[in-house]
Amino acid sequence: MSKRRTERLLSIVVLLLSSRRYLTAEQIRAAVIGYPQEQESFKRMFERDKEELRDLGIPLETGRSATADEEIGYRISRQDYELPEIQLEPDEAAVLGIASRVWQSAALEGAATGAALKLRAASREADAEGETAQAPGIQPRLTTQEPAFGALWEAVRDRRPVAFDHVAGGRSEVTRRTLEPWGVVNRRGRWYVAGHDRARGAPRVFRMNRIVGPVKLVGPPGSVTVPEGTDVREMVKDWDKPQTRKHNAVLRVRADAGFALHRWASQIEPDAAHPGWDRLTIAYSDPDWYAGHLAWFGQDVVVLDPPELREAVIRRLKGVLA
Amino acid sequence: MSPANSARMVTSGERLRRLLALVPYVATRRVVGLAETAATFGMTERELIDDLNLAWCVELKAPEPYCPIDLSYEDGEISISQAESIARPLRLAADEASALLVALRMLAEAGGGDAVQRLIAKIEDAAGAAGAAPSQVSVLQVDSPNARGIAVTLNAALAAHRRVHLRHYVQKRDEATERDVDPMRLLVVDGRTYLEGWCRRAEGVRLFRLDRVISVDVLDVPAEVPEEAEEVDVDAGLFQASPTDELVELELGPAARRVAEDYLCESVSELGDGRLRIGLRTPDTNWVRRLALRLGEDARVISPPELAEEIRAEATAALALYE
Repeated sequence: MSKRRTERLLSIVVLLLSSRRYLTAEQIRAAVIGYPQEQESFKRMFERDKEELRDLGIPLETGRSATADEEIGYRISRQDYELPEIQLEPDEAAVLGIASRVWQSAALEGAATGAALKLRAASREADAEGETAQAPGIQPRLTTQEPAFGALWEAVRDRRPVAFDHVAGGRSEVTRRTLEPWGVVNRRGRWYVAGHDRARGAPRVFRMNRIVGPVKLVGPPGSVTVPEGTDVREMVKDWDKPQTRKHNAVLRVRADAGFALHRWASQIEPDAAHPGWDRLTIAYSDPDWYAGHLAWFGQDVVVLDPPELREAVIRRLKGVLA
Repeated sequence: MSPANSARMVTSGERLRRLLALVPYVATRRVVGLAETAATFGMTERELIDDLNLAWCVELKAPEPYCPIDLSYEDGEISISQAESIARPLRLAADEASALLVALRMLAEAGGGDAVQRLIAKIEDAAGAAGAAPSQVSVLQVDSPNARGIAVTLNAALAAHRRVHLRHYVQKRDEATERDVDPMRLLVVDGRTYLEGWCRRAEGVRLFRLDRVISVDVLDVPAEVPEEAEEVDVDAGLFQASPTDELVELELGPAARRVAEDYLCESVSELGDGRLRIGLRTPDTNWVRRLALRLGEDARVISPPELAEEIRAEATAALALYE
């Protein structure tokens, strides 16, 4: 960290924003305090400065003001630089405060806070009194514990393909995957990356905590195209639950138990042959998952129909005793 | 931001980023309090003055020597009379727009209200191309649609500081309970929304998962959260196991490996062939019994032995109903 470097960078920004013409490196050197006399070290320093400015998102353009100019020059277009007009209402400014505290990772909290500061800097109305009183009483929290998250977030942002080692669920061997990432999605607190798996030639979703080792970028920025109409949320939503058509089950459930079953049943009537029991009709989609769900209720439920669901539950219960 | 945070060293890039927001912040307001500005930017007043001095010292030598930024600070106030070309803040970077919009959409889905929607629209507008990326980053709300409606009602109760009456499903015991709660806040953690409130039945702070709330009535009674009510430390995890809770050990087959990821485990070890042994602590083993029934042959409770025996007894009784 150097105060002089910050001064120099700020000077360049002010200079190039004020100039309509492209200024050459020499012209910049003449106007800005702090560059060395010696040509080679000036060049190196100037290169590093340009890189730093671009990293900060400053739109440094290169070009020539006149075709006769031999050397290329630099400028910053005001229109590309400036945040467009924005006015925040006091309640919106209060929301901004909550939103910038959502991320529990230093990098993204920093990014959200940086954005919030720019917005507040642009808007005077943000400063009304009683800010905290108007904030909604909601506090979302978002964590990023998966080591792969940072690299995949950047890969999605910059549209770059990646390669990584992955352990599929329920297995222990590692496979190498090459993915054109389309998006990252958080579901139940876990992060997933969705995209086109090059080896499989098909869309795939990977849970980030099953990625082992570093994520490698294997292509230049902009080399991934997200197909039109892609909805990564939908891809991840049903990632581990293949949608099947709805079935109906008929269950006998103790009248004073199986609360969740009673709640979702489409039909409930007392079971005449079994006092203290109800007969329920209830819809379900995945037979295997649902058999587990019903076994969970133990001796409070008996499956009457369909036979394959009945058998699946009996199998689970026998499995417990095996 | 904590003072410890703001005292750390910043790189020249970070400092430039801050200055390019600070100068417009003051310029937009013409006059602004030193203390208030320092708080907004998460820095000490000393650091703020250093930054102001740095901006003020900027000098260009050519074509004519001049100082583009003119500002002053005295009596706890800052004013800028000349901010030249940096009077407006820099556009949002892609990371900044994404991080903020993802957070705002979470708030919106949790029933954050009208102000959240307005703010999202304004930021999308201002972000331009940088705002396009967030559609590729999102957080799924896994609450049921029913929970969404409950959230709206609870937000209204929070705003009006009213007590609520909850009917709530306790999954571990498979039963519905009724209680009066003084709402403290709504939390959204891992895609689910919870009400944190003072439960008058338990006389303590409790969390209620909104998709397990069956119904909520806003009572015509002001909420009274006692002073001793302490907010749950969300960053430490919503549900902390206590070291004094009973230790349960399970063996999981390959098909049940997910259990190790879905529950907070104290220990996880590989047994070969994709099998795992896990240890977890819980004050209430009831749900472990139900989990074992659900998993069937894919899981086995090793200890405590009484729990293993209880599970076998339950399975035997359940099977008898099929004979």
